[in-house]
Amino acid sequence: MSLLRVEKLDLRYGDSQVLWAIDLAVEEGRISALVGANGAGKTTLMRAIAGLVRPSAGRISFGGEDLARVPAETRVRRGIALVPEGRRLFAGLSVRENLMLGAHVRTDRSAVADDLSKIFALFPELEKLSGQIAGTMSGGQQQMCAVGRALMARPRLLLIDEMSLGLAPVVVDRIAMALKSVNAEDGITMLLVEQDVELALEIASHATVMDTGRVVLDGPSTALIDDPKIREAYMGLAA
Amino acid sequence: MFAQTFVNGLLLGGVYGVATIGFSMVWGVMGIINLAHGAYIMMGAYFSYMLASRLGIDPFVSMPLVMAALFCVGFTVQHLLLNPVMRTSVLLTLAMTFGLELFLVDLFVALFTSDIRSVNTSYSSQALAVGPVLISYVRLAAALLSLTLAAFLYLVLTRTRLGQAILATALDREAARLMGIFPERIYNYTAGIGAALAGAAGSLASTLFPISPGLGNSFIGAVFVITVLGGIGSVTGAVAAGFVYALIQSFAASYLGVNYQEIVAFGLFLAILIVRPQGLFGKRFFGEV
Repeated sequence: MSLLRVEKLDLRYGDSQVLWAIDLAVEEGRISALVGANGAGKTTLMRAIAGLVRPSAGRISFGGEDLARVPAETRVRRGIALVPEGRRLFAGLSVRENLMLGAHVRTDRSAVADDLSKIFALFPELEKLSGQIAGTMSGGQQQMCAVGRALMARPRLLLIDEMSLGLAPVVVDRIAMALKSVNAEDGITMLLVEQDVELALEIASHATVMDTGRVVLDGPSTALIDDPKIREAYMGLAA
Repeated sequence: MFAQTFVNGLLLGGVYGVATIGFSMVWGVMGIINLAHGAYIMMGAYFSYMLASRLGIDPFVSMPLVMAALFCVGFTVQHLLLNPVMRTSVLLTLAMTFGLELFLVDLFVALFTSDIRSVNTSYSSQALAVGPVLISYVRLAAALLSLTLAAFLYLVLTRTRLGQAILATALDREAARLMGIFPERIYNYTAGIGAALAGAAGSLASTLFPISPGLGNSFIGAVFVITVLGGIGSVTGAVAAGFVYALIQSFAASYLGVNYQEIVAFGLFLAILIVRPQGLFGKRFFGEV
């Protein structure tokens, strides 16, 4: 069953329309990817799913429930967590404070403590740096903290916007591995936005390709990775 | 004279600190320059005066009550007046709080007239003599209470769920929403806490100064200077800057004359804006550089 469904979604900023009749389904328990060039509208779509921007038409439903009247603050409580583009950590607060803010909506204290140790096991450097001011860490450490912060909400759906942007390949691989293990062990459904199409198709079992505000292709990663159009247009490889 | 001037400045510094923390926090968290902060201080002083003159409750004892009353005022004003305005323009809140200040001051002129009132306690004129220096008990108590309040607020911000939500909202409003924090609710609480601290300052001021509807005006200038000096939104900065400001004012008054105390203090304010706009301690809001 689809955990998240986006149907015929239009979104405009003032006079300019940025999303056109988007259809997207994210299956429960899977990792899906949203790929495409800069300006394709991927980040806008993520923000619409998280509730930060309001679509002008169409429908987003989560677990069968229409989200139209649910504000961003409540969507976290329903189980949607977003790792925003550029990480957006609380730069002046410590790593531990950032992670605990991720669990702000939760009241199950002992489970929160368990989840914190899980995050520390996933990214051991976060435990070593737990007292450090988040804004002073390296980009990779900040991205780990941002992913950890979102996981602290114990989401059903984890949205990750441009995880790899500006990070060293070694760090990207580590975070990708961590995401795969969280998906396998806890069954958390994920939707990744990636400019790095190769990476996206490697992590995700299913991908949706967007171009200038529209969905142009959609299918299992194994099929897309062999698609000559994809190989040429997005991966810079000869067909 | 040097020692006495130093002690006088030090004792007043704490009160200035408390008068500033709420103003600075509201500015740092919401970007609102609350021009009605002085009116809140004045209201706190009148509440203390009323409780002292009608019910005979000592201002130091009634302070929690005054703070609770002002918390409700700040919370309600934010919820009903400022949040709706902020949705369109933060700058408009400046006009709104300016109007609120005029309204509240005139309201208190209408209610209490412009006559000067004062709270006299049995210990008002008593002082501790340390060598040649006289330390007024009231001023000493006010200074110590100020530091206690500042420390308490600091703990609330760093150790409690509400405090962390306030800091998160101040640092990145949208990211805070992604954590499930409703910014407007946080603004209500922040405004409430800011007003409660203004109330506490008014309470302390009622034991030190004559009370009139213009009381807030004599504070708001100092509050501005101390906020900028300490770094906008910084609790510890406001306390430290409160002492710096009070010491400068105290020395200017006793060595140059009372007329010079404001000239020196505001001259310093302008100099700091030009030379170190980020405040003396270089920290804006909790590490936001």
